Amino acid sequence: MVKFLQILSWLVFLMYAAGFWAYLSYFRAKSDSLSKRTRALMLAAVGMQSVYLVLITMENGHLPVSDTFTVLASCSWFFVLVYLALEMRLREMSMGVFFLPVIVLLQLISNLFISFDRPLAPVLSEIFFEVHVALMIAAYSAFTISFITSIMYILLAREMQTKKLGIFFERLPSLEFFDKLSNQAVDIGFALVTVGIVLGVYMGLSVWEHGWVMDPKLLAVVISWAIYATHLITRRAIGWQGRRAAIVSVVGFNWLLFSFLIVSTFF
Amino acid sequence: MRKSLTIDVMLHKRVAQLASLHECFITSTESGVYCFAEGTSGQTAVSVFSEVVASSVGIRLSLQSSEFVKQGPDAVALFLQKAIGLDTSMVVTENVESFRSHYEVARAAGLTGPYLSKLFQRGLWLAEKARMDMHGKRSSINADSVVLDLAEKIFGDLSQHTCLLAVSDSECESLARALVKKNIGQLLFLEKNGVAAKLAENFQGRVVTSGQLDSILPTVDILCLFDAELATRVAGLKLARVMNRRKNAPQLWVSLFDNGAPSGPLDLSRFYNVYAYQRSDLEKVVLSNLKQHQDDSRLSASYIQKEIEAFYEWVDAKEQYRFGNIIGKSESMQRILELVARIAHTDISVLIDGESGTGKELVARAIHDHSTRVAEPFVVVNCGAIPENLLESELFGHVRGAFTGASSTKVGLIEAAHQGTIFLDEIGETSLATQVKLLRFLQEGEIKPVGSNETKQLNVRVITATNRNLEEMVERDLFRQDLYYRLNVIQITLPPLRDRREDIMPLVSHFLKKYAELTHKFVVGVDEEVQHLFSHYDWPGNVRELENAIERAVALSSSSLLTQYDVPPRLREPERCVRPNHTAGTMSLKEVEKLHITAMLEKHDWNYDLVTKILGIGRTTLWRKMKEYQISN
Repeated sequence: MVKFLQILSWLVFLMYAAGFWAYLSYFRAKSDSLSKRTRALMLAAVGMQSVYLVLITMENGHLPVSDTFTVLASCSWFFVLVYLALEMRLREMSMGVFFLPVIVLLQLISNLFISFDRPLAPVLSEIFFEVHVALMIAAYSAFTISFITSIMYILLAREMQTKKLGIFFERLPSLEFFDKLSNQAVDIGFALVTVGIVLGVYMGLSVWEHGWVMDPKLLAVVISWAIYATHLITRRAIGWQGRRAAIVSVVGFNWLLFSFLIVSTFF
Repeated sequence: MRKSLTIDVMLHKRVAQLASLHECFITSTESGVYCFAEGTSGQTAVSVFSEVVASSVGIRLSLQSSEFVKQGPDAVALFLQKAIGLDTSMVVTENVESFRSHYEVARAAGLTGPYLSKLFQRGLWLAEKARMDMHGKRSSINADSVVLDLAEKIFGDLSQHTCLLAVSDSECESLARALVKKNIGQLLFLEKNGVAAKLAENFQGRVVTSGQLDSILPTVDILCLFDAELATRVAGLKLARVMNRRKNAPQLWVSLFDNGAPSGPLDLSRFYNVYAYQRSDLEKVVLSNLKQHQDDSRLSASYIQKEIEAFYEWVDAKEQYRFGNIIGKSESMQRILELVARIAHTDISVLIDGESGTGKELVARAIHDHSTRVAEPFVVVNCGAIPENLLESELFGHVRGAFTGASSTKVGLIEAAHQGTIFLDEIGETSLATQVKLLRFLQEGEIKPVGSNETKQLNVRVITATNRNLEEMVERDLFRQDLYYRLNVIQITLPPLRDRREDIMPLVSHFLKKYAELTHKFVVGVDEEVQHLFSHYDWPGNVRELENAIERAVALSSSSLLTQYDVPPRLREPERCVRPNHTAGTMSLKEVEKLHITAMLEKHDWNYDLVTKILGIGRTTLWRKMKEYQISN
């Protein structure tokens, strides 16, 4: 079974790699047939990934949230779903070429380090914990979306400022589109992460004895929370709209990624 | 104010007459006025044209320089470019509608001879081809469209946004119009010289005075500055405060004054959310778009080159009224050939109707040869010549053992025409059962061979022909109505030869050449008597009868000119106005009279005196009958 799961995980990876290639071709050529095929490929890939996660759950006896890399796998799956929902709702396929690398990367890291037989620490089998992790996964997905759309905003804005109107000017939707999307994503992410942190602290209180304030994981997340809070405040109160908001979002995400990986691996 | 040039019949005739031109065509497009002419007086034509234009428009131009005069292949190239809609930068932007309507004017003036007709026809064909090849990739090639593109790239949907235009004259009108078309939320006009009020009225906007500028600027998303003085006024405001009040929402500033100076008083680089464009920036964008376009237009340039070569080959062959295998000098044939040029590229079904012998197969072949299927099979099926019970298996094929005598699987004719064109002549002769199967093929694109249960998908373009009145057959339930509408998406009616007498002599020369070569006889023409006979004969058998007559005459001829004794005797009989009346059998005497009277009136152009003489009745009798049968003009 483990062997099969491994094969499946790499298959999913390959399909997303193919998806990236498809989105790239679509971005360059923008033809209808390409768009239909890409959509079909993505749906097939996420279907396969769902099967993969279900099998992991069955194999492990609990939801795939036990350790960093299973969390990453779930994250990747959830993220794909959210992206596809966005893509279908907004009818805009040009974003795919930017989102897929993240998805492929998530899947790659997850595949390389995942192990299917880690036992679950006792505290981690509580329902609260699973809710906490789910919330965090959702929040991080939102922040990732904000990150990617902010990058696209910055790329497009740069073309327009330097007046060298190239492929981004041609193919991407408007700045306002990205701005709106990024801001909404941060708003949602912030709400989710706040609840997530509260839950996490509540649970942590029962586990940690003292010095819980210095728990590296908590520290890292609180800093992320602060950065995104800055995003909300500066946007509304002192008018850091558009490009500045995008930059804050990028900074926040970089910290998020960095802290999540480092802290989870070494602590 | 400049007077504009009206392109009408009189203008054409004046120029043609003064310069002794055989053919003349004058058109005006966005890039100027053009005159295409064929005749021997090149230089005279140029000076006459400039005189005529000068007197109409009030501007004197010197047209002698080589920039304005083109000869030979260059002239042909320019004609074709205009026909496709290419402007001077070789980009498809111009509307071909005015070009074509001006051609109709030239045609009405009688100044479109074989050369212009041939070129016009090729132009139509090229225009369709270019349109299909280039997917209509339209990108912005003027400053206004670039501004709109920028605005849309920043704001997306413009309906919630405001634009301020700072103008001192009505220079901004085209931009304002474009903005309104894109549903801009609000248009504001900054007041100077009293122009703003009128503009605001025209475009349903508001007027803003300089005093209100300070308070209104924060709500403005797009600023277009057409006037340097107003720009200075705007720059004088505390822009940092404005940006603050806007919460640094993105803003687009466009400086469009063209007195050569760069943006001048405005330095907006310190505001991170402001996108400032000057006229020179916009022009750079236009240039790079044009370059992209030019790569696409290189395709059309190569097509035009090929057309020029083909045109000169045709000229050298000295068969001026010949288009492929069709000889057509008359206006009705010209129009048919132009229609063929326009529809050949598509796969549209065509129904050709006309009397027998008018060249329906030739037209079908011409359509095929001009289409994208030219390299594929062209299959001819005469539905009238094949027995009814065999037609189905001929068209759709059969499998072994489907019926007695079916000893092997046979591929049907429709399948043989796969990827190509099939021509179904005498479609009116098909049985209702075959019509059902044909309709299914036209609708679904698949056939079922006789005796088989499998369907085959086929891609065939269908052209049909008939010399029966299909509409009437539909009424009498002899032809399916749904099939009729499927087949005759485009209907080409070939006029009988007697309705296009100008074509007779060119046809005669063509056939003479053909049969003289075949029989190795030296016959080069017809004498006056024969010319008269040919031109006045009724030709019930149309072109086929004419060809027949010439073949016979050439065989019998004893000199280099055909004489009246060489031609078939029936041509020598006095005017036979017998029109084969297919349905005479079921008509009452009154109906026959009505038909005959109407036919005579139409034939002789409602010349009552002549008609009464031919019919052998008095004028009052004629009028009485016209009233009774309700025949009117």
